[in-house]
Amino acid sequence: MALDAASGRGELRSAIEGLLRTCVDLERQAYDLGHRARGEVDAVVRELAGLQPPELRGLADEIAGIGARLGTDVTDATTEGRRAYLDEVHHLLTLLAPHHGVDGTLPPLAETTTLIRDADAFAAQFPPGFARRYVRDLITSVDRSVTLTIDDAGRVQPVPTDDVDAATTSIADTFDGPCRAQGAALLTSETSHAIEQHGPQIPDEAHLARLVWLKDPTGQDAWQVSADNRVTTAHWAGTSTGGFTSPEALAKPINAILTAASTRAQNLDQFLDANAEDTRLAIHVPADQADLSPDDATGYRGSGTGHPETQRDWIAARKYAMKNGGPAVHGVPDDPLRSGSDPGAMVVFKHSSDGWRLVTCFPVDAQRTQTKRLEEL
Amino acid sequence: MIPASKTFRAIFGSGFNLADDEPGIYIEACEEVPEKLSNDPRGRYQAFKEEFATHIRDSSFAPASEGDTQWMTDEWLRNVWYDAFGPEPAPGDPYPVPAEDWGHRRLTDYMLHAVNETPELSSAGAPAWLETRGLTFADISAAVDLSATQSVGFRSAPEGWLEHLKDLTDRGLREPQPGELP
Repeated sequence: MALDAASGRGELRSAIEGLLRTCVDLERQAYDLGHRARGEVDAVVRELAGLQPPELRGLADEIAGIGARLGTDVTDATTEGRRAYLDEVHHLLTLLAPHHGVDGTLPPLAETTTLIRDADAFAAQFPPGFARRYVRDLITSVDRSVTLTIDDAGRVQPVPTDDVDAATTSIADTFDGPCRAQGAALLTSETSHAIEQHGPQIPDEAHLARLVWLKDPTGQDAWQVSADNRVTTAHWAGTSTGGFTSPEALAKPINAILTAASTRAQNLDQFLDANAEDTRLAIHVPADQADLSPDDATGYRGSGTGHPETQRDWIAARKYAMKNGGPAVHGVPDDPLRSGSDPGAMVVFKHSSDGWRLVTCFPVDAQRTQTKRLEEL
Repeated sequence: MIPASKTFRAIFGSGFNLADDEPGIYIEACEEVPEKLSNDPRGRYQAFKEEFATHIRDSSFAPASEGDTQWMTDEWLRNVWYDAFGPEPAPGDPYPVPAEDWGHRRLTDYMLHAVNETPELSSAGAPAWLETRGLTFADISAAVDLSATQSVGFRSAPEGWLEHLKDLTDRGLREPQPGELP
């Protein structure tokens, strides 16, 4: 393959995505069909149930059994029928792997009845590493993608300043005694947008409007739709948006850092000075050290953005959509503290003339490459 | 050069790795580079830049997760290098991106986030950033339109890539990763 082109890679990805989409549709239709058939059989059973004489009563149970079996039969037929599609997906992955710079020889695919909607279990049938991650990423995006129109995004109301202030007060109240004043000062610093972009006061639809159409949840950054449906914005967001679901959850990672600083150094400034090599320091606070659990976070990530190379294409597609009034990109609802392999929070500080200030604090599914972990500091 | 040094991790891991989470921090990190390099009394930033080039040359920056591959990781690093240090490829890069691709057939995170259609809608540092690299707002806009029909992201791995990696691994310059030649 040519060094100067990505030619073929996009086509292979589309083909794999198309086949998986077909499998997802088959599975959904089989489920609906089985469900409907059972409903109709149940109606027959209800009529029979009132029947006398006694020798006919067994008939109702027999027919109910047929209804239940029908659902199972339809599901079995579907998993059998999709086998050819999965073999093809497997074959296409062997062709795609060399584009990504890994060996194309993959172990054969085992016989399977795992439902696709169990994305993790389904993907686990593919070889670990590149192929498994690729399949999982695509299934999640074809099965669970959501989006919103420009008009819908326009109707998402900015979060009122009072709500941001109230959230700030509740978050400050949750800091442990000695950390309270310092925690509150960090959060209210001018450099910090932790609450504004990741606070519990932000509704899910605002996280989605931010992801798909770059609309600032606070309404402070300009956002406009022109007469010809082009969207202009002064707001930035990456391939995921979201935040914490409670004041306590947002305070927890910062609390963990303040606690570590008070035991390992004289104060926060000294602690950060000792670990920074620059005027910025990012820290991964693992969920267990911050006492964060699944459901402490909410948000969305761009569909199919599980790889560095697909992230760039997704952002370009969003930029294109904003410039041309569509087509809208899609996102997948995601709680990174639940879905992540090494969940936690990313906390970023910046050094200014009067010491270290907070920049942001947001939930993540995994430590970002090269970022230091709290336990290393 | 394995593994990454403390200085490299602290600088790279506090901004250059955050484009997908916090574009604003990434943009700031890129725009600060000229000033950091010219005001670098202890030589830390220069050392960071040199180690960055070494990781690209030796493919020694490990993929972020087991689903990522060394080739795509290196392609990403080439983008970050361009965003941070400019159009000259990293010294010793065995697969430099053709100069004419940047901003035309290949869009980086800085271009995708910081550069919008007009300077008013873009990062304050965007005009200077583009000028240093010989690009215009119109170039980036045209490449965004091109992205609807062809990838403006990373290249596919070249012929002989796995053998090239194995050679680097055998010479002790990097750790082997899953899916590579034994």
